Amino acid sequence: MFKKTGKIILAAITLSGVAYAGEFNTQAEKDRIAMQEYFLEKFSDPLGKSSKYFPYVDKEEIKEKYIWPVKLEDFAHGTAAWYKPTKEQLAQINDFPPYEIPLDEGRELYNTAFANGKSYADCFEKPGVKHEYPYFDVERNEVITLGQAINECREANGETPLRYGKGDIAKIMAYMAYESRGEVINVEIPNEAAKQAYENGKKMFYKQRGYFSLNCVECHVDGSGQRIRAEALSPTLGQVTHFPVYRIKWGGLGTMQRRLAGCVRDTGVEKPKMQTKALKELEFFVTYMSNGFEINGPDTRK
Amino acid sequence: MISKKLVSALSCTVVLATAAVADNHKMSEEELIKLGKETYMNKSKGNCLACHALTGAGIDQEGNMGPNLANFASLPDEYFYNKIWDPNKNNPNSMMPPLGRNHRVTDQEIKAIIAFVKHVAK
Ligand code: HEC
Ligand code: HEC
Repeated sequence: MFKKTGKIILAAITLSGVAYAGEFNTQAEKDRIAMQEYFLEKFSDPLGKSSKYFPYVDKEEIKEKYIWPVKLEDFAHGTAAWYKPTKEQLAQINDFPPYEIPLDEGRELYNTAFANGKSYADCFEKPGVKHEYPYFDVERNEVITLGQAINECREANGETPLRYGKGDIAKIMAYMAYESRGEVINVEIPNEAAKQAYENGKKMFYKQRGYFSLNCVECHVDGSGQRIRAEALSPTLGQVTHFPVYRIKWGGLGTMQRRLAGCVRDTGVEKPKMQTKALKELEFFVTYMSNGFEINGPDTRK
Repeated sequence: MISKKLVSALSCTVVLATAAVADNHKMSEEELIKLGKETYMNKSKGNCLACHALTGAGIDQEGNMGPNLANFASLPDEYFYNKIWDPNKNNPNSMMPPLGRNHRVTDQEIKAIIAFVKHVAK
């Protein structure tokens, strides 16, 4: 239901010849291609290119622990795409995936009727629509995330909204992600306002903040391929494909919004609220960077 | 029964008081190194190990975003101090946080970090 509204309006604009979507994503496409090229080059030969990309990483560690060349589609696996210890550890944990039980609970929740007899199935075409979120709703003039759509579905049916980030909402999203496996992410930028939302998200991605004066780029673009303590940093490219994730540290599932809020906090500022305009626009930008990737969530993380 | 609030209030005062004293009195070399190590390791202070190795310190899980600090131990204190105060001065693109300029570490704590690094690396 939510997604369709956006599409219909978009079609109307296109037909009336006011503008077509392609015009608004010119810069975004440049950014996305540049990001792909950067990572493909960076991980084509980490040993040979170590002085450019990994100046302080011990060459022995590169020889022993790095995986290369990393193919485009492999970036869907986060850190496991380039770092053997993470890859092996995740493979081992996923022998018995810890997200399996919450995934089953999510399926159950999705299919349970609300007090008014309706259910999520009345709001979503089908459970497998994870790849269609977040999207820019041209009627409401804002980015709509999947978590938000789930809660709006509840409220429209007289139910109280769920707490964002973890718990039931993450379980429902895990089920929806599971049903979306193999579907391709394709964030669209249908108009000027959507372009602005993208630009805002991008600014947020680059803005140095907090007492560590860090931004996302320093850890997940330049920094990716290196470690902060024992934490090997994932590339931005492909980061959104596997959410929600069961994170050992959280002892449960967490959504993209939760992860983003945590990473913003790690720059040394107060943890931002989930589902605010700013954090939704950040998710919009980060997801755009992974356009063309397939959904492979839910997954497990340290 | 002493309430939990009171206990934490008390321990807070103690911590603050120690910090104040630590900053004022002239420390012995040994105290300075100890403070340096604490600051170096503390996640909300120096957190240097997150990004740097330091050969000889025996620290687990050191990051590798920046250089091994043992290689810098022979540089003058002033160079070291300026780097910790504001790393962007000698490298505008540095991703190292300006821990001094942003008041995460005090003047004394910076000096203590330097003493610690030099002590380990000598
Ligand atoms: C101080 C370093 C640091 C900064 C700054 C930082 N992150 Fe992270 N981030 C991490 C670490 C460490 C992890 C866990 C390891 C990993 O998967 O990369 C992580 C994980 C993530 C993940 C989950 C990846 C996965 O596969 O599960 C996302 C998404 C993410 N960060 C986005 C961001 C965004 C967006 C920003 C900017 C607001 C940001 N991060 C800033 C350190 C950082
Ligand atoms: C978030 C990561 C990070 C943290 C935390 C960090 N550094 Fe750095 N540091 C770097 C990087 C990256 C470089 C290399 C680039 C540069 O020279 O700025 C560096 C470089 C240095 C240098 C070499 C300077 C030069 O001129 O080549 C010294 C000395 C140094 N850091 C000391 C410290 C100390 C001491 C601390 C803790 C108080 C610390 N760093 C905390 C990332 C960090």
